Amino acid sequence: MRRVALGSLALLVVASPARADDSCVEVTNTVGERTCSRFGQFWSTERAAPLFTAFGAWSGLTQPGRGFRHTVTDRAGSNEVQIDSARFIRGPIQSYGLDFRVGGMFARHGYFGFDMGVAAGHASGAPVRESGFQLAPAAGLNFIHMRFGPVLGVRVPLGKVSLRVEALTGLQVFALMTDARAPDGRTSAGVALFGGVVEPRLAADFWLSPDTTLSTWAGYNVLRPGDTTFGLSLAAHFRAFDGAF
Amino acid sequence: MNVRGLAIVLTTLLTACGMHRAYCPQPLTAEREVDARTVRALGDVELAFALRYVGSSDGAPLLTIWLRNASVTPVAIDLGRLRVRGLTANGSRALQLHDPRGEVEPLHLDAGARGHEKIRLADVGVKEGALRQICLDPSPVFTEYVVAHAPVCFAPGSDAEWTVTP
Repeated sequence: MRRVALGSLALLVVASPARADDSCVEVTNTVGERTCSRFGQFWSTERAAPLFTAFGAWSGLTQPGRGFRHTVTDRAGSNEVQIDSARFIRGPIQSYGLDFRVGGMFARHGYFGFDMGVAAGHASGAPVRESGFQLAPAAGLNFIHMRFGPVLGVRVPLGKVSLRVEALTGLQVFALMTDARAPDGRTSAGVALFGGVVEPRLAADFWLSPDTTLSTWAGYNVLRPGDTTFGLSLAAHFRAFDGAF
Repeated sequence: MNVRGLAIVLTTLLTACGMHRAYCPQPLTAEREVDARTVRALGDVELAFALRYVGSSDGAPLLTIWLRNASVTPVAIDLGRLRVRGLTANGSRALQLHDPRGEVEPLHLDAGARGHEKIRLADVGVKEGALRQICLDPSPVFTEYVVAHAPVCFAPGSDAEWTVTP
C-alpha cells in the first residue's frame, strides 16, 4: 500500500507539466545515474514518512434534548412557540456515516491528525401540539451529524495489536429536519445546532500487514453527556507498524 | 445499536485478522530474477545479488541487490560496506561501488519491507586485465551483527550476464 501511495505520488510529480523544464528526468534507477528517486526510497525506514491515512464508518448516538430547541412562528411573526425536540423525538438519535483521517507520528508513540466525519440517521417520534402549533420529525433521513477537528493521541504497541488513547477536539453540526406547522398554515423545515466536541476515545488497531490496520474505536463527548460514538476504520501507514511493533 | 450484530462483525474481522498471513513479504527466491544461490540471510533478513553488463560503455558491471526484511522491526544495514573483490590473472583487488553523489548511506531496512537497488561497480580496471571473477562479501552490511557469510561469486558468462559460481 505504501508503494502504491508513493508510486502515485511519483507519477503525479513526473506527470506534472510544471516539471517539464526541470532537469529531474528519470531514465534509470541505477545509483549515480538516476536523478529523481533516492537510494532506499522504497525499502528504508528513514525514507518512509511516519504518516497515516484512515477511512471508515462510524455511528453516533445523539441525545435530542440537549440544545435542540425549535422555534416555530406564524406568518405574521406575532405568535411563536419554542418546543424542545425531546418532546417529540423518541429516544436518542442513531446516525451512521463515514469518516476520514490523516495524521502522523510526532514521537515514538504520540500522534497528531485531523479527523472529519459525516453521518445521517432517522429521528423517530410522535407529533406534539402546543398553542395550535404542531411539530413532528420529518420522514426518512431527517438527521445529519457532521464533525471535524484535530485529534491528539498516544499509541501503545502490543505486537499485532496496538491500543490508542486519543482526544478529538473540534466542532460539530447537527441538523434535524422537522415538519412544523403554525396555526395559520405556515411551515418550517428544521433546526441546526452548532457546538463543540471534546471527545476522549479508546481505540484498538489490528495490524493486517506492516502498513495496514483495521481499527475499532469508541468515544464520549464530554460537552454533551450521553452522546457517544463508535467506528471501524481501515488505515494505511507509510512506515511499517508506525515505527514500533 | 445492535450489539449482537456488532459483536458478530467484530469477531469475524478479528478472526480474519488472526488468520491473515500478509505480514511477511515473499522470499527473495520468489523473484524471477533472483538466483537462489546468491541469497544470504541473517535471521529474517535476506540479501540477494546479480551482476550484469548493462548500459555502460566502460564495461563496468551493474550490481543489483535485492533486500527483504520479514521481521517486525527495522534492521540496520549499510550497503556501502559491501566488500567487492575482483579476480584477474595477476591476482585480486578491491572494487568500489560507483556512488558519485554519496547516496549509498547506512539506513534501516523497514519491517516487512522488500526492495532492490542497482549500483554500478567503479574502477573495474579493464586495463589491468580482464576480470575472471567478482566476489561479494555481504558480512559487513549488517552493521548491528557480526556474522560471517560465504561470499557470492560471479564469473563472466555469455551475453550480458555474469553467472554465479559455486
